[in-house]
Amino acid sequence: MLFSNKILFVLYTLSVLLLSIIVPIWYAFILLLIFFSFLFSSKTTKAFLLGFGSVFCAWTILMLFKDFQNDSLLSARITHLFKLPSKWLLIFITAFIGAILGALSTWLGKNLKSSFGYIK
Amino acid sequence: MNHFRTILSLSLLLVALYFLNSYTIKTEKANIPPLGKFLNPITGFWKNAENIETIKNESIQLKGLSAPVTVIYDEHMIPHIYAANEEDLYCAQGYVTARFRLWQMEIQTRAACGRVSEILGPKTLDFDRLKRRTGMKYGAEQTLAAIENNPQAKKLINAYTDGINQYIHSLNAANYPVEYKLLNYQPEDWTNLKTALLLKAMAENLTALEYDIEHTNALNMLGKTDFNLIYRDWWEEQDPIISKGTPFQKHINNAISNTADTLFSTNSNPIQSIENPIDKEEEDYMLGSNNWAIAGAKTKSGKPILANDPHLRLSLPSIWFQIHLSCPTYNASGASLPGAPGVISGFNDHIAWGVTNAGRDIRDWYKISFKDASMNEYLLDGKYQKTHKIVEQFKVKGQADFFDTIVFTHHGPVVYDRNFSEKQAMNLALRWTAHDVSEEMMTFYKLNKSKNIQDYFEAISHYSCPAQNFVFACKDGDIAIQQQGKFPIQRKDQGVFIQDGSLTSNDWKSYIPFEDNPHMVNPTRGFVSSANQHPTDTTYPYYYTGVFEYFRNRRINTELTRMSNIQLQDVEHLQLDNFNWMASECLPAMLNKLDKSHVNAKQQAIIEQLSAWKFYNEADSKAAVYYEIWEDTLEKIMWDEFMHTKYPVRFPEKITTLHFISTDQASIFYDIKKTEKVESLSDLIALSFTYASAKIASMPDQDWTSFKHTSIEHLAKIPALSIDYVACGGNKSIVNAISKYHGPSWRMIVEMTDDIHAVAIYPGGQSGNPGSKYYDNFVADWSQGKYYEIYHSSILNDMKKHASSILELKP
Repeated sequence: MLFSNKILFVLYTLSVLLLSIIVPIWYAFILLLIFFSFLFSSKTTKAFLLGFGSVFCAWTILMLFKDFQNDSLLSARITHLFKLPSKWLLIFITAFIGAILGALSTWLGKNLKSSFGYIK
Repeated sequence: MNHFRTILSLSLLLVALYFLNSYTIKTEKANIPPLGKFLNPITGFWKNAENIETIKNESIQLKGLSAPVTVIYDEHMIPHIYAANEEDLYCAQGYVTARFRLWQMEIQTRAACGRVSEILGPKTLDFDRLKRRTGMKYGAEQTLAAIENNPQAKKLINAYTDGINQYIHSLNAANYPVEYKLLNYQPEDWTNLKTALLLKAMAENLTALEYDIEHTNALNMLGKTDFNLIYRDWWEEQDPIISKGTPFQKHINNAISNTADTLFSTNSNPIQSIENPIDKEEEDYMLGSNNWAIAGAKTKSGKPILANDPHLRLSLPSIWFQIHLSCPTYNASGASLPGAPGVISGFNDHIAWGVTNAGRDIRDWYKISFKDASMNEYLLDGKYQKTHKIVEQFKVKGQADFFDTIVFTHHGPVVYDRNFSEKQAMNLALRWTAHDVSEEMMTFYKLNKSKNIQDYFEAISHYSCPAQNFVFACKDGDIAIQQQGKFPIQRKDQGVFIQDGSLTSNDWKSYIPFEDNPHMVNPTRGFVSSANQHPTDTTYPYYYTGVFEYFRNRRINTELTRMSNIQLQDVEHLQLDNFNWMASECLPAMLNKLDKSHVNAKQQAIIEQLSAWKFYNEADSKAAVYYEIWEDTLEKIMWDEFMHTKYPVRFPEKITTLHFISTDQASIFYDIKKTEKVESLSDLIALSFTYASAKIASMPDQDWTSFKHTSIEHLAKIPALSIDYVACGGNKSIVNAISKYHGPSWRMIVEMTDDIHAVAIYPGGQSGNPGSKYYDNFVADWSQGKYYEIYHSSILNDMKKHASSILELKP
């Protein structure tokens, strides 16, 4: 165990955040998380949770930042568009969508490690 | 074993990614874009959430400029563009406009040329086909050829297009306008043709108000006598643009005296128009505009004042984009159309101009007799003429391409035929001045640079369609108005009905010469004005027909005649005037003829409110609601013959209704067909009052604004991006013409003092982005009748004091 879970979580989240700011491809984090998980993950559950949590957090931070700067002008309209009761649900659904992809990515990374990595 | 889990997780990931990035969820009402792609905070809609605080100064490269261009944004986000020459100016105008309004520019031109199905799928295919069949693209191609033949015009339009495209090329998926993300498609390059298409879209918007098909049906239904009674060309109380009694000249003398050979005499089968008749509610007075110019003799400053407010469908983004264009040979300010270079309604350092719609019928339908089903030949003066055909390709989202053959005759495209619908019993070709070569762009370019009345007349001489009333005022004191367009010389009734297209005698043969178009220069009454009424009285030496208004113009002319020592604020009050002229003539007659002996207490209260009403449709008026409901009910039961007809017919105009209410016409139209009894006018008034008062009693207590419920819809009619309710007075046929969906789309007043004083506002905002605070920030002030000062200095350093941010464009 090279890193503690907390450190890995912070590393994953910050990396996803940074990548999102630099690369204008919304699913670019998938490759990053596969790679990270290939390097760092040992257990399926842990890999899954790290992927889920880090994207959930990174996306939530990005959305809150945008929403604050925008005084919720656009999120209110999109909430109305999707007939949602509150913008918080919109933010939650969005973060959840990212998180699912994140979890699948880290799970794949972990499995790749099991398939092709050095296994004791 | 391990490989199985790898493959499983990889598959799940790919499936999830495919679903979230590429799968459009189709529902009854709308298509939901791929969720991950639309919602994600990296490239999804969140990227369009603009920071409401910081507006940064920027420096951007714009290739092809000959020198740097400075764009100053004032506090309303109105760009003031300072360039070294006209080409640079137009290039920067294209770039800046696209930054704010790209999606609007594209969707409007896409709609004009029948390419909406590419993004929305098969449900809009018939819409697209009709656009191509009415020859929108064909007309735009003709116009573009003319523009590109003129080396100067070509240079300028190329520069404008280049500016737009440089903006488009600077985009990536993350910063596409949000509508592209919502509808899940990408912007495509701008072309000169799109600019031409935009002008044709305006032409369609403003001239499609003709009723040849509906009139033909009505003639079959009513017979000639009653037809002439209901659809009158002229009522005597009309106050035309060119004041009554003004002598006219006729510079050509071709005898067109034989009576119109309309189809009604030979054909007894009315045809089913493909287009649905327009809803009663918004009929007739949907579009309109006001403009006037007041001579210095009537103003306090001694200088002319010009006012313009074009009434169009209110939309977000707004149809107009306010701009100020300046270079050493040019300093124009006002409203521009996103997608067309220059200023459309505005002023420069010397003159001001504005436009209203002429409303004259310049679209005629001809019945075509083909030799056989191949449609290769058609009958003309007893011989067969060859047609030519164009195969149009339609890309349809989610479906194979669709091909439509459009047959062209010498009249123009055959819009309705069995290619369009198998049910079509009649082949109808369209002759429309929008199909012809024209140079509208040159008119606006030259108006933007005009210095005096000669320049103004020269500029508008290039203008053909959609015909407009160009009002003019100049610093040197001149005022003028001309109804300008390309108008065919017609026989009486020509163009009122579908015509026999197999006789060349029915063709348009020549056009009214420019100098004979109705115009008025510096009249002794001290003002010129137009509000979509008849251009002339009946002494005008050319026949014309069209859709004309009878109420706003009389209010404007009465007020302008009465007023003196006029200041800019007085002109604001006139633009915002809510006097209901129609009600002032109609309601007293209705009340007078109403038998008040048997009314109950609630009805008595309504009568009292109506009797006390001064005919102003102010936002808080209740009497205005009562009048509207009563008049509407009366109209519907009086013209019951025109409701729910088998074939579309034109509903009688308000002026006709007014005459049938105010004077007893001893007419069969008072009879309600479905009742045994033969009703009289008094019966209708009593009955309509009973119905109306019952309706009023059943409704919540409302004032005029909540009853009218003005909305400003997003161009794609997406409620979440629209404004559902705007509190305001006014109505159609009132000077302040704000109805449910239409109204003054731009209000401008210019006083031609030495340092021009100009104010304007429009119901929208400069940005087309629903995630910007500049999306709809003018709406509240507009609804309250406020105006903003227009800064128009040609000196860059003077403008800097108004700057909220500066954009430098570098070659």
